[in-house]
Amino acid sequence: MPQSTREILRRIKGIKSTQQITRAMEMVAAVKLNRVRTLAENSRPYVNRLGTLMRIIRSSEMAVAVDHPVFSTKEGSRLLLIVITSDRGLCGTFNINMINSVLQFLEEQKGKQVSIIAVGKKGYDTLVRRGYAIEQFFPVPWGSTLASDLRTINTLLTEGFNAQKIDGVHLYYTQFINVLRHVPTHVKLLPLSPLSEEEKKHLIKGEIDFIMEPSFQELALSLIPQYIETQIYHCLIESVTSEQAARMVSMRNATDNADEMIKNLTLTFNKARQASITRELIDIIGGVEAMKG
Amino acid sequence: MKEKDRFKLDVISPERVLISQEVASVVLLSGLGSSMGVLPRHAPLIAKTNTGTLKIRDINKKETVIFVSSGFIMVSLEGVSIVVRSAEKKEMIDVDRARAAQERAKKRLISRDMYIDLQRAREALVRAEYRLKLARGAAG
Repeated sequence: MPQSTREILRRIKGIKSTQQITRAMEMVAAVKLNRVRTLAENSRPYVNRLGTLMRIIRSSEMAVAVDHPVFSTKEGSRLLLIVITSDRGLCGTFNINMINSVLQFLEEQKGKQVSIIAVGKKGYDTLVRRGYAIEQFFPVPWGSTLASDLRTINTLLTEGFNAQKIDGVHLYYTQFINVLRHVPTHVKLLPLSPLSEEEKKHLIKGEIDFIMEPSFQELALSLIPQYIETQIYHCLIESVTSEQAARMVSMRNATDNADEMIKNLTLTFNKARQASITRELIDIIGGVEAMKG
Repeated sequence: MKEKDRFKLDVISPERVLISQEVASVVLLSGLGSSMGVLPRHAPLIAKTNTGTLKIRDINKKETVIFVSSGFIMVSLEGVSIVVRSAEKKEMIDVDRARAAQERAKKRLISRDMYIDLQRAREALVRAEYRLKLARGAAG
């Protein structure tokens, strides 16, 4: 049947061109992954050191004494939730896992008033489709928009918090563990409740009796915005790293699957061709035999 | 030099760990005539720092001057950390960019546009001027 062999050939060709695309996407993702990983590694000491500073501030007795909403121990019922996903698909279960964790969180917080800031188009689309109101949407900030978007998000939440319009800020991002493992992770950005005695034990060695200049309050109030911004930046980078890793892996799987399909189809094609040749031979031999007889 | 006459200094920005070495002293010179020096065995301290230059004297008494933007300094038993938005050595300063930033900031400061964040423009101007000052110092 020449019809069916032609059909199979057409399919093989189609799969081959798809495979070319998936292979190219895999390589692009690998390059981007490398770039963002160096970025993450270079900024890690900075992120860690600011974290240490913040922990010292939070462990100070002054944090309890100043009675500022930032250092509140309890959380009210108006929450702000930041959800980081990706702008593009074709990255396996990356966005689905994130959305599932967020939906679970929203389920747990039922009864509270949760406003959402969506970073990444995929998460925004899904949450809107599910009927959630989105306070504000940002595409994943990168390159030139990174600094200004971070500042906008940061002002948005610190101002909301300082004006006491919100009582708590939570963030969901995908933590990068290794190329194959990325975990949706929850962090609480605000309030920065003072550390418990237990948590204080894991602080840096030596005394924790620091002289604070110019004053505890002034120091804390200038450290907090920078700390929050750095935290969001860190989560964003982790999320982008996970996204590229997820895309690379799923594209590699797609390329491998295409290989497998091409192999099977080639086999079917060869069988079909062989069958049609055999059939033609039988026809010819049959004809010859008939003429003899 | 004896052990107690030196301490570990880290200068860290989001882009890189610019400096991580044993030094003998460090002095931060920033605007408004304020300056701050740290010698070995300084008391534990956390402070806010302004944009300025950092004069580092290493254990061989060699001095290096670097640019640092505003940030924080932490002195503990583990050493001294200076955590800032940006830190650059003389040769790393992009003079053209700093000059452009200086122009931009000046324009913003004299404009009457109410949407301009004056505080940010002022800070940008100070950063640009410190960068240029340090870079010019390199030229002689």
